[in-house]
Amino acid sequence: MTGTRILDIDRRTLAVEESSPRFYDFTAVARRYGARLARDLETVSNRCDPVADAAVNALSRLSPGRARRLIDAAATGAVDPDLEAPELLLVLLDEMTVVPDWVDAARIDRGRRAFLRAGPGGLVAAFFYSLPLEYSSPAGSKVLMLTGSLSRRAKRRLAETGRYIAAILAPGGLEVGSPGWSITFRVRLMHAQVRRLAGNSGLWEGAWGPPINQLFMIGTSLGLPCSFSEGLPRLGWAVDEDEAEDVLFLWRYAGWLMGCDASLLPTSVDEASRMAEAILCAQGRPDDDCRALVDAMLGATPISWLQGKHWFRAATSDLIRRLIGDDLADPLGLPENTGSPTYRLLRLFLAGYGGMQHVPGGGRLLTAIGGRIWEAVVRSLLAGRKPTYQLPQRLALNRGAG
Amino acid sequence: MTDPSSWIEASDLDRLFEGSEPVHVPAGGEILTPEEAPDALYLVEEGRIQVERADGGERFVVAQLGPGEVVGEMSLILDRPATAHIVATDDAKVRRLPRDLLVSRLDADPLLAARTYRSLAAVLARRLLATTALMSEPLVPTARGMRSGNATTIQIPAALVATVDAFRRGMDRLQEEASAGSFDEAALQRAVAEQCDALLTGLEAELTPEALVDAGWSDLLSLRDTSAVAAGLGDYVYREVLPFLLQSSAFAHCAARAGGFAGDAETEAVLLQPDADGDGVLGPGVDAWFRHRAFVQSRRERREMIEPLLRAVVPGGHVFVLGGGNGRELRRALGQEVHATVVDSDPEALAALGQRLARAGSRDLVTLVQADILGVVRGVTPMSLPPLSFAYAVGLSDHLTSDQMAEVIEWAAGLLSPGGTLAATFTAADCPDRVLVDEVIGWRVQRWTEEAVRSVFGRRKAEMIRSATGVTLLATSRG
Repeated sequence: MTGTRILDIDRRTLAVEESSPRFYDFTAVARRYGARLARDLETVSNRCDPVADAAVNALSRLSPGRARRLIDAAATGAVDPDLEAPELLLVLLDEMTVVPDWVDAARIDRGRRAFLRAGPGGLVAAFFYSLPLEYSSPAGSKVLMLTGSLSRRAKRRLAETGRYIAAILAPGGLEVGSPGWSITFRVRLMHAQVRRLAGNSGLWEGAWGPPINQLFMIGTSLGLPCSFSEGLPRLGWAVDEDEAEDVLFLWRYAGWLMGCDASLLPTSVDEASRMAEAILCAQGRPDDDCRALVDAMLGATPISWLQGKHWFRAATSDLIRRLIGDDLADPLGLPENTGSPTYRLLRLFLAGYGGMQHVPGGGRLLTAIGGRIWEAVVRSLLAGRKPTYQLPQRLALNRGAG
Repeated sequence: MTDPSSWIEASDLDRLFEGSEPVHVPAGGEILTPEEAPDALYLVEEGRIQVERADGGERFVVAQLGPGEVVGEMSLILDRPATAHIVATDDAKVRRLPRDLLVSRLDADPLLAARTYRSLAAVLARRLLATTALMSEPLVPTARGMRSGNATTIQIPAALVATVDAFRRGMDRLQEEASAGSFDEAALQRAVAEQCDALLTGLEAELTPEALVDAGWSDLLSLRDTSAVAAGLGDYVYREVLPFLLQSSAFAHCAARAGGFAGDAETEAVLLQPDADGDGVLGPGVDAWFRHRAFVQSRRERREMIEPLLRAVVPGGHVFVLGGGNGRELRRALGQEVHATVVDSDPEALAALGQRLARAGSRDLVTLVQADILGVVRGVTPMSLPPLSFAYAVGLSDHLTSDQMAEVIEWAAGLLSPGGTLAATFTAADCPDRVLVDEVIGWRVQRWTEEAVRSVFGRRKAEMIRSATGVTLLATSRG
């Protein structure tokens, strides 16, 4: 097969030998990317997010109601002193509300607009490039597969991911107290809680490394900027270098807010590509759990009447394969040669759609359309429900009533 | 009462007791009695004496002393009457040093007085430190925490809600049918047991590690970990079905115990009663179901496992019981010429045991000591024991940590005569009814794997057998 390649990972690197560690292979990283990066990645694979973990531990000692009220208050960016929030929650809040010196609001705004301009192309790349990459980590997939039922929640997960991206792409989406910032704050706490649940479940194996560790977090944070710089060109969308750098900057700050170690978050697109390749190389070959997650994702459609439609599944499989490349699509169990014309049609459509950028006012129009597209897709995926990083009271009441 | 070697040099002791009066005290004779004004210090030369406290018509030993030890020093220092009986347990020889003579001797020799009082102060300080340390010793909690705030509504699985609803409907239906005379007693008990079993099975299915992670995941920002979610599901079931379970007299007793302490003698006595009892039409059925649960059965079973070992003690042997509790096995299997010393911190349990032993005609064979077993092991409560033929602990491991249990085993093993036996029961880590015990009743019982049990026996070889119910591990080791 003369397949495409994702980034610069080739089959030889992904095909970890039987005798190699199954979940992490830093020897391969050292061989290919140098001992220093391998050492750095190995170090961060054992680190998590101590600030969020400590905050969650402190909050877990409170009643769920009080903890929730404090989280709601903190998610606005400030907590009334009368609420007497645990000190460790305030430490997390301080970390997330003090904007680092390196943050450039104008670049962030350019980055979000560039992403939105890509409209349907950006959306397809975000879902069908970054999520399969995230699911290709054998250790990372264990968090999602721990109970065996989480793969069934694929649609909700897609909806929550979409809601997160859409909120960050909104104007001022990363400003303290904005919806994007607020979701990031909640998701960071949720990650910490997942670490507690997984770590204390008795089901978590040491070979998987700490759940949602820095290696996984950084890899995930690179998925979206790489979907823009690497994925969109595969769909025929011409990506300007400066735009790609701005988009990376946007997601760099989002990753930092999410708790990623700033020293390892790439500052250039080239560095991001190399880092993403190295992380893919480090995490070993996709296993059955990775394949199950991708399979569940393929079954989660934004519109209910698409559910179970063979042609839709074939189209999305084909799109993913085209975006991530055969060398990763094969071990993820994606079918070859589905015969779907979607990829070619999408390329054709995006060529015309992208042409609107070059007419006066076209860029602003595409940005606005992109925002609407994201909102519409998220609304469709949520199907009237709130994502769970919002208050689940309504769902609780529904259950009680049922 | 003090070992004088710990508070004064031998030469000083000789000088103190110079000219003291030798006294012979026959077995059972009292050296000091409560309310008696302190007039002398006593040094034990031969035989054994013990300090006894009267409570509820029973006399409990609070300390045992042997040759070389001194009694009466506390009353003498405080110049107030004794608070306990000092009794010779066998023919004893003591030296009596009158208070006037002691005072004049110390007045005449300030250096001797200083050494004596300093040493005595050191002894009292050490005793206070040991007692304080014992009070702050971390024990396995005996009670679960609050029955609220452990899980959110959304974390309660729909399947469990359905199970609970089915249980309530089923019990209501049984009540109606039984009231209408549709059941004989045995059929009703079977039907009630089926409902209760289904409820417990439904709860157990939601408490597997996978199910708990799933439930925790369903509401991540409630920040409950799996143990909290498990407790929360138990809380939910407890709240929803309590009116039905409370109709069982045994369950009602357990629910009424403050903190749900599983090891107290009264609860054990209630659980050991053979007859089902309860309120209303369904109460006896629920009670019978509850009494037949493996964990409840194990209360009887673990004492029965001790009985063959107790019967094997040859006449003249001495048995030491670490944590007496109900003492059922003593009444049933203690040989006629075998003596036993029972240590328990619960005076009510000791009083009840004393009365039962008296009714069985074996009270004279048993010395009841009211003390914390860790205090005995660490010397806070002095004890003078003969070499032991058999030492055993039933249920002690339910509420001690592995380090504490290892300390107790090590100490008791050191008291065994050659060929003596040491035995202890442990609640198995994978015992049945874990969910009923932990999450519904709310008892906190330390559980042990076989490996953990072996580790507390250290280098001593321990043989292990498991009870028929699967709840109890009996470990025995030969001296």
